[in-house]
Amino acid sequence: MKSYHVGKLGVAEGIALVFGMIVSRLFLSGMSDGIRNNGQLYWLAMILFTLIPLVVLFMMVYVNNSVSGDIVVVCKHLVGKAGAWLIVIAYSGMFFANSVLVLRQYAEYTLSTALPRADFQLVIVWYAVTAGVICYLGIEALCRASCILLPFMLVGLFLIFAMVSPFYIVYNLTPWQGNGIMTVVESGVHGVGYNMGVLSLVFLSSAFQNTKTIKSAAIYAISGSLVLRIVDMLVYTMVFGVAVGGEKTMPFYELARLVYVNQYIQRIEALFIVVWVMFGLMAIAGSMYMGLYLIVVLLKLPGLRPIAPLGAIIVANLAMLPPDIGTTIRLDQLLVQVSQVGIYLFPGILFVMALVKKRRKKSCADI
Amino acid sequence: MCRYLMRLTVLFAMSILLLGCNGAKELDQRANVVAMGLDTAEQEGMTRISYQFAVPRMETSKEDASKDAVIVTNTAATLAEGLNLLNSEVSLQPVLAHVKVIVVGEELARRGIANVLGPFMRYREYRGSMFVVVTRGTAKNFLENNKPVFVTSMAKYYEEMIGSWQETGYFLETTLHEYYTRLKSNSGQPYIALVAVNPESSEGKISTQKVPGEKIDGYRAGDLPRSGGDAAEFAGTALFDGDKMVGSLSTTETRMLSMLLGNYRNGYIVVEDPFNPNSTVNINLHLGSRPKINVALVEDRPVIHVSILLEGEISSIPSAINYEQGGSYLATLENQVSQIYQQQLMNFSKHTQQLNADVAGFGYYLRPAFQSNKEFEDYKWNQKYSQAEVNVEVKTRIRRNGLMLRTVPTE
Repeated sequence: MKSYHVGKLGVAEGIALVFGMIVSRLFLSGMSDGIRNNGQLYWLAMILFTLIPLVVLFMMVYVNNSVSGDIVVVCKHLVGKAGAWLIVIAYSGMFFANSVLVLRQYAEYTLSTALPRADFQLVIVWYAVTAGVICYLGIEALCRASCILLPFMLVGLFLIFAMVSPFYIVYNLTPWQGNGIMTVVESGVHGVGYNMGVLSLVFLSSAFQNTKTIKSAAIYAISGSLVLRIVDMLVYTMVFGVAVGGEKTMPFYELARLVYVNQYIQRIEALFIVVWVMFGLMAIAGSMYMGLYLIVVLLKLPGLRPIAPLGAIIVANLAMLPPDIGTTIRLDQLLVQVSQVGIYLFPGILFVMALVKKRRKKSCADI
Repeated sequence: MCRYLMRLTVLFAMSILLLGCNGAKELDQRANVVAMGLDTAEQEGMTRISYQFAVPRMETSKEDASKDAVIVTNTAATLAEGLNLLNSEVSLQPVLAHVKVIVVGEELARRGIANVLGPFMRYREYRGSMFVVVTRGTAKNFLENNKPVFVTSMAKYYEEMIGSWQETGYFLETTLHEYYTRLKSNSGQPYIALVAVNPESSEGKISTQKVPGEKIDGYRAGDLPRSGGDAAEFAGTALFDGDKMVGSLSTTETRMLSMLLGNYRNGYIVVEDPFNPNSTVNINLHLGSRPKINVALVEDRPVIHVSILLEGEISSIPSAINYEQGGSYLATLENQVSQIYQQQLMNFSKHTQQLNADVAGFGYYLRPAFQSNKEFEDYKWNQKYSQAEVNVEVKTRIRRNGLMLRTVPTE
C-alpha cells in the first residue's frame, strides 16, 4: 500500500477535508461579488452550485465503483490512456491553480489586515511553507488536523454572526428576487467551480474506509457548507445591504470588525484572523495535496513526500505572478468558470462511458 | 539522534521567529487618537482635521479628563495627507485604530461628507463601529472646549456619554456603519447625533414647542437651559438628504425617531394632569413592542401606517388624584399620553417630509412590495417620501405605579 493510500479515514476526516477546501472562499471576495451580481436571492445560486457538485460526486462514485483502481486506472479503462492523461492533468492543474490563487488572496488579505508592514514575499513563503509541511505530513495529518480545528472555527464564526445581530435589518433581504431569478439561476449553474473540492473525496477514495464513508462525508460536508454559506450570506446582507455589501473586499472580516457588544467586547477581528488563516491554510494545503496526488498517481510514483517541497515552491512562485489583487480576483473568478469543465464535462463523459461499458458487458453476458 | 536534534532546533527557531513581536510597539511608543474632528478649511478644497490624542500617563491621575487629551489640528487635502502631516507633528507613531468618535463640523456636514468618508470605509485602522456626531459650530471648537468633569479619560467619556442614549432617547447612538449603509440604501436617509458645547448661560432656546397636554419642550444641543457639568452636550439629531445635512431634530423629535426605529427603551415624559391642568403627571415610558409600520402604494403614492404601543410606569402624581386605582381615571391618562405622542409623531413626519429626509427608514418597509432591486431603485423612494400620506396610531398602557399604591391627599 502506498503512503497516500492510508485507507483509514472516516466520515469526520472527509467532512473536514472537503469543508476546509470549499468554505475557504467564504473569507475572500466571492460573497461580495455574488451579492453584487445576484442581490438578495444569492442563496438560491448557492443551493444550485452546491447541489450540482453533490450529484456529480454521486455519479463519480458510481464510476469509481464500476472500475476498481485509482482515478487514473478508472479513466484509462473508460476513456483510454490519452483521455486519462488529459483528465487527470486537467484536474491536477485546477487544484494547483486553486491553491495558487487562494494562497495569493490569503497573503494579500493578511497584508491588508494583520501584517500591513510585512514583506509580501515573506507572507507568501510563510503560507506556502506551512501548506508544504502539511502536505508532507500526508492526507491523514491534514484531515485529522482539519477535523480538530473545524468545531472551534465554526463556533467562532457563529459567535460573530450572533454578535453583529444589533446591526441586522431584516428588510435588507427584500426585494426577495434580488437582481432577478434568471440571473441567479445562471450564477448557480456557472458557480459550481466553487465546490469542485468535493471531488477530492472520489480521487482520494483509496484513503477512505469505503464508499459509504465517502458518500456520507460528501453529504455532510456539502450540506454543512451550504448552511454556513447561506447563513453568512443572509447575515451579511442584513447587516450591509446589497449596495454596501457589494463594495467590501473581505466580507467576513468586515462583519468581525463591526462587533461592538460593549466597551469590553469589541475589536475582536484580530482573534478572527487566526480562524481565517487556519481555514486558508487547510484550503491551500488541501488543494496543493490534491494537485500533487493526481500527478503522483498518474506517474505511478511510490510516494508524495519527496515532491511536496517542490509543489510548495511552485505554488509560492506562481502565487507571486499576478501583478495585483484585482488581477488575482479576476483570475480566481476565471478559475471558477473553468472548473465547470471538472464538474460537468469530465464526470459526464466518465459517467456515460461507465454506463455504456456496463450495458455492453451485460449484453455480452446475456449472449 | 541527529534527526531528533534537527527537529528540536527547527521547533525552537520557529518558537522564536513566530512570536510576532518583531513589529510590536509598546504603549509609550504610540499616540492613540480617541477622537477626530473634521471641518471645512479656509482654503478651497481643504479639510481641517483635529486629532484628540489620549495621554496614557494621565489616565491614572486625579486631574480632569481634558488633561488626558492633547489636540493637534492640521489642514490637508485629504485624511491620508493629514495623517502624513500628523506624523511630522507628533513624536510618537499616531494610531487611529482606537478612534472612538468622528466629530463633523456643521458647515462641512451641510456641504456634504461623502467625499470625506471614503478613507473611513477603506482604511483598515477605521471601523464601522466608530461613533459619528455632528457638532454645531466647528469640530475643533467642540474638541477643545469639551472638558468632561465626571470621568478621568476622554476615551471613557465618549463611550459612556454615547452609551447613555438609551436613558432618554433625546439623542441616538450613530455609527459610521449605520450612516454609510443608510446613505447607500435608497430606503431612507442618514441621521447623525447632534452635539455642541453649551454656553452655560442658564438660558435655553426652545426648538420645538410642546404639544397640547404636554409639558416638555424640545431643545437642540447647545441650547439646553443649564450651567455647570460637562461643557459638551448631546441632544437632538442632524438630518441628511444624501450626504448633505439639511436640518435637525430637537430632543423631543429625536425621541419620536427613536420610537419609529424601535429602539426607544426608556424616558420620562411630563404631561398635564387630565383632571387638574395646573398639575403634572410624570410617566416613565418605553416601547411595549416594536412599532408596526406598514407602507403601501395607493395609486403610486406611498401610504404609511404606523402603530405604536407604549408602556409606562407612573413616577409622580403631585395632584394626588388616584390614577393608580385604574378604571376611567387611568384610561383618561393613557388616552392623554397617546394623543400627545400621536401629535408629536405627526409633527415629526411633517418636519422630515418638508426636509425630504426619511430618517425613520420607512422606505425599508416598502421594499417587500417590489419584486426586484431594479424596480425598487427605479421607484426612487427618497424622492417620493415627501408625498407620502402618514397615519399614526398610538396606544398607551400604564402598567405600574412606581412604589406607591395610592396617594393620600394632604390636609
